[in-house]
Amino acid sequence: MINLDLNSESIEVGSELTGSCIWIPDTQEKNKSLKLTIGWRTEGRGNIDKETLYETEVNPSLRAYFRCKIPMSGPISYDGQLLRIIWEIIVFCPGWFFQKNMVETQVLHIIPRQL
Amino acid sequence: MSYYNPYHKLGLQRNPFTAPDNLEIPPQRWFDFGFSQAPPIQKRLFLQVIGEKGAGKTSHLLHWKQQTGGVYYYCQPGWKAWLLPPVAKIVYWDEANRIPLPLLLISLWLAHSINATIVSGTHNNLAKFASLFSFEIKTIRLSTLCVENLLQWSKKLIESERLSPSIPIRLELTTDNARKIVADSQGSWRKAATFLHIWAARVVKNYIL
Repeated sequence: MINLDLNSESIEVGSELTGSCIWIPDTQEKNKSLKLTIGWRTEGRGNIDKETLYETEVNPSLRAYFRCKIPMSGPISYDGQLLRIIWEIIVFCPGWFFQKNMVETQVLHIIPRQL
Repeated sequence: MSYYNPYHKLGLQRNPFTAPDNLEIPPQRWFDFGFSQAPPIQKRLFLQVIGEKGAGKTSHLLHWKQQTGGVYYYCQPGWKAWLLPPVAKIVYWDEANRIPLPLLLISLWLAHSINATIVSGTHNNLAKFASLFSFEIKTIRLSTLCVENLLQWSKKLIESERLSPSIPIRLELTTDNARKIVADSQGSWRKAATFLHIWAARVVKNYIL
């Protein structure tokens, strides 16, 4: 079981995303550790672009705290007709050859700076 | 308020018409137009696939290569085209019309010496050059975009993005929409996929509002 706690799911560019993650594994998974990444990726009718801004390890039964500054330059989340920009926190089990076995994904909403 | 994937509202994981991560189409998204069977290896065969941009030439070449192995070569535009195309028991030359004539003739001669099968994706008919080296010539003209095929293809792609077997999908292309997309796409599946992507995004937006 994975529990993700965030200060907010809607974050302005230039602000900090803070939160924590705790993973209570099944008995046979107690020696493993998971990875948590924060980043964005594009999805749509073009080449994929992506960036990971933050990465940390999540050990079994220990609460991992994270703090990631969202760049002022964004990009902001976008749901367009040709393109989406998706920010997400991904918790995954690293596999062979950079393969990711997804465990949990939480979509974030990155918004412009409010004046 | 929780922010989530809007496509979940339609019972989908994402927009079904998103461009694939790579050019090799996974089986659950492959649509058979009657040319799915790969050509035989080492038969002194020159199989050319002729079609407009986005007609599905590269998709077919890579689909066959998954079955036969062999070498895939993409001929780049401009001066980068001046590379000798590789030769193997079966070789896939994509954008073969860009290969400079002297290099094309050398590679055809080399391929002839090992009885290779050459599969080429091309905009122009290259049969006259291959026939100089007594290759058996086969030509496939890809012109498969029609309303019926588009309806079936879109259905397959939508199904491949189903969120869960228990959740109904709320996205279906009508014949009227398909007819308009076919007319606007000028024979290109790539253009049709872009129009379908826009259509699906609009449906999602209207559904949420």
